[in-house]
Amino acid sequence: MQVLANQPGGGSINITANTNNGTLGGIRETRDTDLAGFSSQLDQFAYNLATTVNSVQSSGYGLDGVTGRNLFSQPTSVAGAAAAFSVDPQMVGNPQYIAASSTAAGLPSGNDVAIQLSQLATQPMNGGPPPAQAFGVIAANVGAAASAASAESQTRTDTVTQAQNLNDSSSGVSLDEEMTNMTAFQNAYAASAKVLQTVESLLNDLMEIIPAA
Amino acid sequence: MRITNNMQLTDALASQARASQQMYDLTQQATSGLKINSPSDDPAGYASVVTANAQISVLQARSTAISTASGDMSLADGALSSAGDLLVQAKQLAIQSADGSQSATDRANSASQVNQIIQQLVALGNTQGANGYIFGGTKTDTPPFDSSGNFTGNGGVMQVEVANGVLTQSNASGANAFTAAGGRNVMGDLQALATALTNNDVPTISASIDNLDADNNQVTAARVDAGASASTLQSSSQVISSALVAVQTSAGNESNADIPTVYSELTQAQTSYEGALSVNRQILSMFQTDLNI
Repeated sequence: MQVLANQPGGGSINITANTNNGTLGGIRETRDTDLAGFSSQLDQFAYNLATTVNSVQSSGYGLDGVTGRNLFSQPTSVAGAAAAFSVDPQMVGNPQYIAASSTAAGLPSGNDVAIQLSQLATQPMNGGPPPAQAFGVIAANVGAAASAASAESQTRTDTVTQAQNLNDSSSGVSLDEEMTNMTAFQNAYAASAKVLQTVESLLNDLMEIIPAA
Repeated sequence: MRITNNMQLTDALASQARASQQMYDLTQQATSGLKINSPSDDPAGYASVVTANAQISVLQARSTAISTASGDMSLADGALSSAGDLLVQAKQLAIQSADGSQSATDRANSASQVNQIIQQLVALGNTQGANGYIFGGTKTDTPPFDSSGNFTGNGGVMQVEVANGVLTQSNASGANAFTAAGGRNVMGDLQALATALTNNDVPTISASIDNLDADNNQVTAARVDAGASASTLQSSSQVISSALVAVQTSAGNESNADIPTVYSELTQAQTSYEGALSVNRQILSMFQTDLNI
């Protein structure tokens, strides 16, 4: 998302970095701060997972007696690791390349590397928690942020409603009140008309009493 | 505070929207059967559900591996027991033949019986289980014994993880049971006996009786090792089953909606939604009355 402002003389300047408030500011903050934080956590997770699995897998021998293969494409950097996460192209369609044995002599049923691979599920990954816990933490962070955002949105909505009510209270229309006022004014108007009518009738009577000169 | 018609309407609409949202959430829980439908419903609960599901996968994988290994171990146990019986037979033949009253023809007959025993032992040594030849060590793709009883397998050990970091051997060692790696070359001893019988060589026949005893002990020791592993696998399998039930129950408590509760809450939400609706109708009809005076 980019926000551009048209210049009087034609052309436009990019003011994305200055949109800090309102709906646009909110969208920009979500994209640049919140989502960026989560995606870097996810990148770190993908990087750790690929690196840890690869270091074990590449130490063993596949059924064809070849060693040093990675199971996942080895990410070159942490940034972008999650987007680039994939099974190594040479592994695709070749399950026999998965290294289960630590020695070529142990083929085909040596399973010591396979056990090490399975143990990765319960062991700390790159100094952090095991993979499932690490993923759970990321998901919980996203969930907590979403739930906090929706609670805050509710609070703001309530605040706005309260302010509108206060505003309405002084400037809004209450039909009951207006109807009552209107009835009162109508009665007053009718009363004053009645007074005028009475005065006119008085004057007429008076004129009739006075003999013509 | 002065109450305007607008305020009444706004409040009534907000209450109706809240009731509507609550009904939506509860309907989602009732139809999916899950209390947590997205991480934001309960972030901490979601994290523990993810962890519990991972634990369930690990336990299920271990359980599968153990049951395959148990099958192979009981196969190995049966094969080693038959091998022991064959060695007892061979020893009886040797004892008979060492007796001076036997003729050379008797011994030649015994020799052919011993050769049959060798063939039977080779067949037992080449027993196949779920993952290939069970006595070949990690070399399970080719028969570990050729027809004359030479061992072409290895002493490789396969293991299964029965608990975090606890490994149990999941194959019986053919090398330890039948070859010099375990002490004596069983096939070689039988072949020496067959040769001695054919050659009518009584002193060698007598000497082989002790060797056959040692062979039988070696096979029995391998069988005891296999039995110990099998019983470890068996008890681990029970531990894993009960752990699996416990983890599944706690994960279920965390993630599954309690259906009766959801239904009664849904009924309440429906009642309050209908209440809000009828209040809104009432307010609107009051405005009408106001305007019709």
